[in-house]
Formats: sequence, C-alpha cells, structure tokens
Amino acid sequence: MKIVMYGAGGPVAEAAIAALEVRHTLRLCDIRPPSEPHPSLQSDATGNASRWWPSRPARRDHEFRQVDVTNPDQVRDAAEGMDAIVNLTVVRPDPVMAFRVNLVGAYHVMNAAVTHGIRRVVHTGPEVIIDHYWHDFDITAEAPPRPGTNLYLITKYLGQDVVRSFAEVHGLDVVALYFHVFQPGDAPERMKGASPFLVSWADTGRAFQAAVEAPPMPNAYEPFIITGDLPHGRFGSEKAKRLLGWHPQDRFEGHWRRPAVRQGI
Amino acid sequence: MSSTRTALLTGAWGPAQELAEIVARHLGAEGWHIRSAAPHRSDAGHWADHHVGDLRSPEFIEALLTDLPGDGAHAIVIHLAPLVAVADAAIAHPGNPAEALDIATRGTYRLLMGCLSAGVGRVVQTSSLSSFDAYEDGLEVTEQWRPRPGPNADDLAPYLSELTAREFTRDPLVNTPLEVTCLRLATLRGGDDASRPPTDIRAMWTVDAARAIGLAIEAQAAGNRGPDRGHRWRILHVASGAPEARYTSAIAHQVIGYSPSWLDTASTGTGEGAR
Repeated sequence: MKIVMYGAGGPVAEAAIAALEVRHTLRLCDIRPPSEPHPSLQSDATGNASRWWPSRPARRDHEFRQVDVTNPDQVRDAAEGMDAIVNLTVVRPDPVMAFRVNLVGAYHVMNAAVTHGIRRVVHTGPEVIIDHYWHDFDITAEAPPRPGTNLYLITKYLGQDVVRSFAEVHGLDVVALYFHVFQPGDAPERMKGASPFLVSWADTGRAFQAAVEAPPMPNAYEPFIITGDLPHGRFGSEKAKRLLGWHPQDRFEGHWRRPAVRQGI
Repeated sequence: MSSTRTALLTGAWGPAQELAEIVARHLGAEGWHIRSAAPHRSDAGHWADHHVGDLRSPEFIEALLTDLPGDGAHAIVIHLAPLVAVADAAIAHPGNPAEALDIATRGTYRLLMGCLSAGVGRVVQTSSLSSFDAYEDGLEVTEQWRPRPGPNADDLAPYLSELTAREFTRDPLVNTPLEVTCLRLATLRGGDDASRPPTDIRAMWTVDAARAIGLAIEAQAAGNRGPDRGHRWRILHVASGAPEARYTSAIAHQVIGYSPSWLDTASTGTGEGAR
C-alpha cells in the first residue's frame, strides 16, 4: 500500500514509520527537512530526549516532501497516487499555528483525500475526554469531546469535526486514533503519575499498522482510544481490539504494581 | 463613556451589515452605547465608535474591549462575525475559502478570551441553520438534532465558531464561564417589505433576526437558566416563523418570546404560533 504521512518528523510519526515501513511504501511529508532535527532533539545535550524517542529497527529510506500542511496545493500534490493518508500534524502552544495546523490543515488533508479518491485516512489527536471526565470511569472514544478552552485541545477538537464532516458527506473511511501518554515499553519509571491512558511506542506503531490495514469501518468517522491494557478501569482499548484487531503488548506493570516496601507516604 | 451600557457588535460589515445596523439602531434607542467592529472598511453604515481590524489580533481585541463601563459588567458582545467569515476570507485570501475557518474560530477564541479578561460575561452569538440542510426536508429538525455541516466553509465557519464558544460556557478551569446565547439564523433576506414571510423556505427577514437578537439580550439579562437546564449555553433556532418554513422557531418563541414582525400585521393568525 502507498501511504502519505503528513507531520512525519515527530516522535509519534517515528513510531508509526517503524511499523509501517516493513510492509508499505511511504511518502513522508513534514515542514522541516529530514536534516533538521525535531525541536525536542535540538537541545538534547543530556541525551534524555533521544533515549525517550521510539526506535526504528528496520530503518529504510523513503521519499520525502517538504510540505506545509497549511498550504492546500502542497498537501493536495503530496497525496497524488497514494492509497491511504496518515495525518500526524500538530502544533500545541502557538496561538496562531495551533488553529492553522490543527484545524485548517485538517481541512486541507481531507480535501486532498477527496480530490484523489483516497478513502482510508488515519487521523490522530489527543484525548479530549480526560479533564472533563476527571471523576468518571469506563470512558469510551464515543464520549462527547470536552476540550475546554485549552488551545491545543480545542483546536484539535475542531479539526476532528472538520474531518468527520468530510468523512460523512463523502463516504470516506476515517480511523481516528486518540492518544494521551507515550513511553517506551520498558520505561522503568512512571510518567504523569502512572497514567491510566498510556501506550508504548511499539504498540503505537502497531496501532497505525492496524489502522491502515483494517477492513472498512462501521462508521465513516471511527474514533479509537489507543491505550495499553491498564487496570484502572477508566479508558479501554476494547473497541480497537474488536474493529482494528490491535492488541497492545506492553502493560507497564511496574508502574502500577504496589511495591513490596513503600518509600515515604 | 457616556452610557452605562455598551454593546460590542462584531462583524458589522458585508453580509451582516444590514443586520448590524438594525441591531445598533434598536439598542441605541434603548440607551446602549454601540461599539462596532468590522474586518474591512465599508461605505455603508455610520458608526461613531467603529473599529476596523482582525478579531484574530490580540491588539485589536484589546482595543475593542478597553474602557468598558463597570469593568465589563455592563457590556455585552453581539458576535455577528461568524456570519461574515467566508466573505472576509474571499477578500483577505482569494481562492482559499478554508481560511474562513481560521478567521471564524480563532477570531471567536480571541474575542471570548478577551471577554474573560475584560469581565464581559454575556455574549449573543450568531450562527447558521445551514448545518441542518443535510437532513431531508420532511423532518422537523429542532435544537435537539445533531448539526451535520457540510465540508465547506459556509457551513463549517459558523458551526465551528459555535463549538468554540460553547467551551467558554462550561470549562471548569475558567473561574467565571461566559453566558452565551447562540442564535442559529435562517438565510438573511434584506429589504423593507417584511409584512409577509419570505417565499424562500430557508430564508428570514433581517429585521426579524435583529428582533431575535434584542430578545435574546433581554432574556439573558433576566437570568433564567431554567430552559437550558442550568447551563450557560443557550442555543435557539430562529427562522421566518412561517408555517412552511424549513426550520421551526418554536423553542425561540417559548424561551425568548420570538415572533417575526410579519406576524404582527398578518391577518390570518397562522405562522409562528401555529408551529
């Protein structure tokens, strides 16, 4: 399968590429050229960020195009001849670019899908179902989004609705993967207090592979929570197992098992 | 500031120019000071306290929301800008209608963030009923139906502005959330002859939209959140009120007392009351 990936320069993309490059032909697009490291790696004097990044055991060369997702012509041209789209573009803190990339960029990507007759689009985003369901359990991907006024969350939320509109009207087959916390599968230490919504890089990559290769979805816009099998009972991956055939393998047991002797409080 | 109440009117330009003028005239007659904002200059309208600029600009927002009476407590925002985002984009970004999404949503976000900072707690926002045109005509679509905007700027710009504003009414991290009434309007038709309903079942008279805005302001000031189950977000469909109108205004009639001006002079007694 020929897959175009927008936002291919970030860590989630690295995990996705690691899984997809084994069986598929990739066209990688990013606003930064491959020679320019991701911002999180540019001042990595300690090497911590590098160690935190996903690994790519098969590391192959791929076609690269420098694409600004806010430029409709560049986005459309990059999708020509492709069978599927993976959109990983994101901007978090910038008050201008968050709207332009997360919302307007999503519009351009979906327009490119329609233009080239590409039905399978893998859209990605953050959970917008955490903060406002803080005291809830058994939360599913279908829970109504509650992003609040947080710039990052609200712009991704608006982008999701744009994607859904395109999918429903044009009969596309969008798999939307929602993430929260990433860690290497063998990470010894907790991050964000043993998050109940956590997935390993390797399982993240496998989620993209499943999303690209899965049979047609029941709904034009099908959202999924992508989390490891964790015991908290807040977020679950049941739907992803059932419809995508994705089964997370890393469980981070060391993060949530009670230590034999507790230190401090 | 001579007046004790200020109404900030955004989007006072282009497709919403006439609506803005009528709203300003009515509110002005009731003693409101009108401050207006438009994305581009226009020959139409005679605004005393008028500002031309981009709502996405923090500096422009700051200028709009400065020097408000009662530290903002006596001010209200009437947000017409979502109705003109597409026309704005056609001028500012020819050939790229998707820019209307940025104009509409980022402009709304900036404006409402500014309201939080300036102490302006009440907003009447306008949107479009076009988000429901995907439903077949035989269905009685109300506020209880999920919007189904088409993947185009005309539908998405006002709809996404709605979603943006709604979060400002319910974010628990905001100390004092805004109170927003969102009026989804039928297609506006100008002109003076509003003595009978427009023939287009998807249209309404601009004077009636202005009337609904005035009623929404009054209802908001009354502070009754009962019809909204206590929420600070109120959504109302506002159309021509004619029996054959594509969309019913029945809830707006119940909640804010909306009825179209043509009904005032109608001899038949049908119309809004019948729906």
